[in-house]
Amino acid sequence: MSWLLRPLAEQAAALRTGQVTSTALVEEALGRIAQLDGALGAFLRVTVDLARRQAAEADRRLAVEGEGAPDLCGIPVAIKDVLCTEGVETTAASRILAGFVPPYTATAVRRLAEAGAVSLGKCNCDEFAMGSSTENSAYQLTRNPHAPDRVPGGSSGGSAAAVAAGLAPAALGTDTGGSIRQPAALCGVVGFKPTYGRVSRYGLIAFASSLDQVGPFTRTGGDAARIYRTIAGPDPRDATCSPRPVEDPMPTLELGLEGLRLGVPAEYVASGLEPGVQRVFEAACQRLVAAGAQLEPVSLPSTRYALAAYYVIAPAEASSNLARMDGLRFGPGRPGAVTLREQLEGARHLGFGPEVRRRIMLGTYALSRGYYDAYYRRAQQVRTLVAQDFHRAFAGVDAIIAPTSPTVAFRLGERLSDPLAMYQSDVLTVPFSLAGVPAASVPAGLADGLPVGLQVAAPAFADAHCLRVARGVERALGVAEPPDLARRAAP
Amino acid sequence: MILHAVDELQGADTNGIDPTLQVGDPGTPTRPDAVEPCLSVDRALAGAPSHEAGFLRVAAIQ
Amino acid sequence: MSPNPATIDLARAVERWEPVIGLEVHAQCTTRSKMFCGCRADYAGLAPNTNTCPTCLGLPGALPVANGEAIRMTVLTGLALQSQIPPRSKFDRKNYFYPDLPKGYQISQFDLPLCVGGWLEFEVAGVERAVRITRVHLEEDAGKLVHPAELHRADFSLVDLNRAGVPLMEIVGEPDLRSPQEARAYLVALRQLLLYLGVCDGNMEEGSLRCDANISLRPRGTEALGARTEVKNLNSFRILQRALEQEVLRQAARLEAGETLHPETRGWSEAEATTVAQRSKEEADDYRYFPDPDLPPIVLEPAFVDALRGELPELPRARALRLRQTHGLSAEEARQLTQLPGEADYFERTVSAGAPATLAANWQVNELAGLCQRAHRTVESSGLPPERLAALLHLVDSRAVSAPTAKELLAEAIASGADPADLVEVRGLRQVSDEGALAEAVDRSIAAQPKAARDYQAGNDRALGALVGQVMAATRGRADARIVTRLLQARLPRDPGP
Repeated sequence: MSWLLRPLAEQAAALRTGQVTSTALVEEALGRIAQLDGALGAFLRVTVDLARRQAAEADRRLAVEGEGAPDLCGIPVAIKDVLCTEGVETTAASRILAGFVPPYTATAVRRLAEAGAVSLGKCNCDEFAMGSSTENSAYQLTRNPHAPDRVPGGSSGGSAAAVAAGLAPAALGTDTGGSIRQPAALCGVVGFKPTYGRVSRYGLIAFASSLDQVGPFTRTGGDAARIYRTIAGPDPRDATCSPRPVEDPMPTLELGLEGLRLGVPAEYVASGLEPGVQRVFEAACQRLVAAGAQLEPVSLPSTRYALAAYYVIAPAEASSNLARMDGLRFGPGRPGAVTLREQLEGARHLGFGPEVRRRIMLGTYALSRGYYDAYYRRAQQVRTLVAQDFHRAFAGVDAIIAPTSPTVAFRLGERLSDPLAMYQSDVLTVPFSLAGVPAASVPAGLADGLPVGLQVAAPAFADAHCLRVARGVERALGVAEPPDLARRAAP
Repeated sequence: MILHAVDELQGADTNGIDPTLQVGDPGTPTRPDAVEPCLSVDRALAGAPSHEAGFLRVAAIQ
Repeated sequence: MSPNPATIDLARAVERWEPVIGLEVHAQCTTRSKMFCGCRADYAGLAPNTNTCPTCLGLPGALPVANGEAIRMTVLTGLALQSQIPPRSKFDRKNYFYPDLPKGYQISQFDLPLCVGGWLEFEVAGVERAVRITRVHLEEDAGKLVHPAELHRADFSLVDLNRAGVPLMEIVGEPDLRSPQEARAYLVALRQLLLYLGVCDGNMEEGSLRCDANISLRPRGTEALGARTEVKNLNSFRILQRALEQEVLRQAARLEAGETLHPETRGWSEAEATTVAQRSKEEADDYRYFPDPDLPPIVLEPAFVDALRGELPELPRARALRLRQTHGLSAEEARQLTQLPGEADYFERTVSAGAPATLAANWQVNELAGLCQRAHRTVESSGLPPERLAALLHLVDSRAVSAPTAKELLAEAIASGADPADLVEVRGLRQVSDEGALAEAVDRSIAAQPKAARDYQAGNDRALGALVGQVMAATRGRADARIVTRLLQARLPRDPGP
């Protein structure tokens, strides 16, 4: 089996015994990308030269530091294109940022680089992370590695597809309302959204600042924990990043589910789930009980308003965050404009896709005088109610489990013309985002051959605990098989 | 259409509920008043579609 | 001297109409770095766009982190203005598009400013006045638009973002001012306070202190407010007063012609010596304020506020009062000496170095201030340490140096940096007070000017001046003029009156 499909711990051990070099891992990844990504479309940009340089450097470091090198040293990773990398074009999959080469690096990306991880390139996503299928990318489609006629989910669809197809053993994504967990579920990999404020947002091109969070895609819960502990932690460049020290998830990771009380929100399994998803979730629940967990119903009554609140708060913040995309300091701009208004409107008309424009309009409306109280302020009040729901629920259980997505991967184009149906993809992930709590999606099985994800959420800043439960679920359910496409590829 | 969907919000009982201002830890993370290196003018303007003599150049305000 | 016709008009106008004036003052904080990033706050003289970083350029993904010192300075200002400091405050985004505003929004404060309420007391022509303070909040400055002067057609503008993100305190006053002169006095007092607190350098020419005024007129004796004009960028005391005077005249003329005034925004035109209508910024009608999600709310612990209260320096009015009580200064002397904190410090150091207080006050206000002004220096940068002034004044006080000599030496000290007391010794300028030594010169003066002597004796006091003058000349100014006068009077007894 390809090294890239094995757990990071095995790769790290092999790198230290000299069984494999970082250069070999990276060359294998570059080879698989060349072979598979033309059809898949996971990467917007593969930084071949940079990856080779970093791999050579990692090999030198492994030779010098040996066991003392960070566990990610020499491991190839892929980066969602909303995270800035100094000297590498970063576009957030938008035309308005075509050619934008940031003069600085996002903290999460920098921490991976400092640990010796090798960046393969930038992954496709929905434009400015707005979407649930990656179809809103201005540049290309990304296909689901399990079914090429289906979406990989979104917005971090490129990152999820890259890991699922074994193009990279790990990838960074970002999650605002489900953009890590939903594509992880649809592609059959592990995705983890840490507590809001646990990973710095510095260098993350903002969609909705009070919700955005950086997190990993990996093949296993253990791998997610390794990436998480490398990127998490205080950052003086992000005022919303918590100063608390990070609890290392590794010591408690394998403690299992024995004796844990897992809450199942009645509201989430009541209706709206595809039958296949429902079946997989119920079967999974039985196996969790068999593994020693105790399932208890919990109630999250305010979550019925969560999606509406989310689709006010996120567009409102986005309408302001995207105001800087004016084509004056970066981006292609609007050549030949005579008046400033032409210059601005031209840049935005040429630069923004329809979904981004729709959300800017919605957000502008929600913040405008006379509507602020009814929309934005009310949505933030609902957010308080949602957070109170979780607070109450977590008083009685150790973690909450739920399906990640009400459906399996849908067909390309199926929901593109129906924004409301698209927004429904986030209905099970958004409440956790509003509450800011950590949540992971773990593969739970297949429905009609397509992956179904199981979501695990824990109280705020109990990220290590969340990862322990996710790993326990994974052990109870079995690590998902990679898709045929990934297994067929030449080693 | 989307507005109609978010109008569900009006059904929530938010009487006396404070709006969320912050999700993480309370407190005021501030920066010490220290000067850090700036970007060079070349790097600052590297992405600008139009610049001149160190200035960004923009169309006339009308 | 004929009165200025405009003054007459103004007097007539304010007889019938009462101006109602409020000021909004923007004060740039004297922090080292910008409000939300580590670029320099002092951008003066830097080449365009050399004082920027991803944050103040508004690059995608860059985040603001608040400068704690700017928050401290704003709270300190609020405390000095007797404001309430609420335990929670927050930053909001004020959304509008302008090319000098890189993010498309300004980080400001909307409904929870750092400081609420308060007042500032000041004096106008000897009368005590107070203006209520609405609020003091903290925000970031925008960049600068440069319109190339050589271009006749304005078909493009140039943007310099060196200033973008510099911390500004906005101090909003209630419309409690009733004349342009009062408005000026308020701004003078506010600037003085900021200088005492050390939170702003007060330089209006360079824009570190900027002022917008709103003004309306109402018939005297009525309460309802008229339509108000906002006059922007009144960036000197003179312009503030003149612009408001012109606005009083303009509004009075329109009202008297029966017109209805509408709220508008105007600016000062130096060329036309009046206010001119300004196009208000587009999209300025709805700023879509909302809490900045990048900046968590500010929590101000009572202990922090109390500690800051303890850091408040002695403020101008308290200091003036103390100088009067401790040193017996006149109100005017105390006022002059406390205009700038450095001047009051200088005075007190001169006194503690041994100079008599009244002499020190008199010499600092009447001699040193003028010399420094002509040399474009402050007393602190005059090159004359207060200890040296004290030594010189000690010589004056003990009559070892004559006042005219001391004045010359003071001028020389400012010009060259020399120690005036040293010069007295080196040049042998000590005053001659020995009556024996002066008697000979007095006799010679009488002998040389018999007519003056006779005239004096005949009752012409002025004739004595010529006789004293000759003694002073003969001693190269070193003679003690009072002793010389006494000796001459003794030598030249007057006839007893008829």
